[in-house]
Amino acid sequence: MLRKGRVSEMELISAIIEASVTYDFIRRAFIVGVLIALCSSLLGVTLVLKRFSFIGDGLSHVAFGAMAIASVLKMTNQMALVLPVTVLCAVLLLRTGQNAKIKGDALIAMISVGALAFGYLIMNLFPGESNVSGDVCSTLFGSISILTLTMEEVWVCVALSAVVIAIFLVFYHKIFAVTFDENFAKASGIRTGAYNLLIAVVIAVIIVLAMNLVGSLLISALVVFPALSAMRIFHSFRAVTIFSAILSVACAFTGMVISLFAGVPVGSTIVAVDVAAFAACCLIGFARKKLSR
Amino acid sequence: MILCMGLTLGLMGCGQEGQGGGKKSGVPSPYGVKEVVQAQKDKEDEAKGIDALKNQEKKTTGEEEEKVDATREKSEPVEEPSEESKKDPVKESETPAESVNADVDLTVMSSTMVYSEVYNMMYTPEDYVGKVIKIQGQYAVSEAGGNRYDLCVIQDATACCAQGMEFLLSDAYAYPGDYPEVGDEITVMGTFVTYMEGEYMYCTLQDAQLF
Repeated sequence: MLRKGRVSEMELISAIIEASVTYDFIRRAFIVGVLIALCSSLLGVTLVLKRFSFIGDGLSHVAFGAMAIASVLKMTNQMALVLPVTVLCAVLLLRTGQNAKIKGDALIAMISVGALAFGYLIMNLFPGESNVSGDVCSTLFGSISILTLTMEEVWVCVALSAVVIAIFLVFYHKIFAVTFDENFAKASGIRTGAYNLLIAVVIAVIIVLAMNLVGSLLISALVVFPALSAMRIFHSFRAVTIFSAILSVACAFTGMVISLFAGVPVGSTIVAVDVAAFAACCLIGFARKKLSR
Repeated sequence: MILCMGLTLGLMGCGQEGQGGGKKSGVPSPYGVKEVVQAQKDKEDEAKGIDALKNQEKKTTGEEEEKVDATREKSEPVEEPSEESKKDPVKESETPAESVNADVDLTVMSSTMVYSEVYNMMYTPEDYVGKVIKIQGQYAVSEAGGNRYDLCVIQDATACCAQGMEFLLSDAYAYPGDYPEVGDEITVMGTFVTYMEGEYMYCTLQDAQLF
């Protein structure tokens, strides 16, 4: 089983398989973690290229604020409030054009910090649980949220992930066009407003799901790092997207295994693995550039 | 889409009975691990004498009705222990002798696993009733309504969250001489049962022993 101490690779693989078979919560964590990582990476490429890398952070803080309100209202299904509020803010952030009075980055900062502070204040004013700090810590950093999922939550994650992946596959070419040259896409007759709205909604869904995996504060890493790592090595949109998806899934799975084995928080371990992968990709990209000269 | 379908099949196909994760659907494990796990469980049941556990449950249930607890009263629903005990498949050959009889040995797991497992015990206690649990943590005492509750407290990896598991030491232990000091690191093993106090259900390790 996953015990402390040094083990060989075969023992580790065997332990992972046995853990997945023996413990329901580990199997659910692996399934949901992989799906969330996959969805995050797909949209991450678009967000990075559109210079909206920090929107994940902003929306996750909004989701935290909505979650705080849902806790105070003692809602059994918090997703019913968190998801619509996050979608609304995503639309607000991504749909405001260049002529908005408050520009994109300032708007993200304003909503993000305001929601986080408001949420924490609400949780302290109306504490539903005896350990408010623990709940906040777990929500912000995702220490064990992924390991305490119910079957209902897993099925919701699976369904939403399937929808996100389907949307990305069906509208791949339109998303590609809107990402790289929105003005040309608009001139070509593509309804850029509608596709920006679609991207905003999908991002909001992914953010709400990803909070279970890495917590509110670390979501940006899940969105940004796989895309940036892929861009160190590949230069076409398709190749970057595919490599980003594979890398994100591999890093999420590795991070979860290390977390279970070493007894460290899940969210930060996954991000640490993402950072290591980014460093490795930078080295590979640098080596390729040197060799090609 | 193919990945989603595969993962969905994995959700439906995997899982053991009594764990709340779905029934066995007959989808074979690709690695044959389930067969290995099942064979090991059969072997463990024979060696351990699962009947002794059932007899202990009946004896405990009968004695509870006669026992007069000076510090508290509780009523216990009669819970049938699950026939399949959840066992750690690997630990049998490697763990110390005193943990051989534990169905769920949390002392050999990482802190992340321990916290998650205890959380799931509290969330789906019906999956663990009747199983022998071995747990390690800090000894704490809680008093409420004139009753004293002995607890083993486990913290998660960040030490910001804690789960407590109540335990009832067996009659072999006399209070306060044989009980540990508050804050001591303890290892306790007992049978997981649930009981009602008022309108709330609580979980405890019954007939617990200290190691």
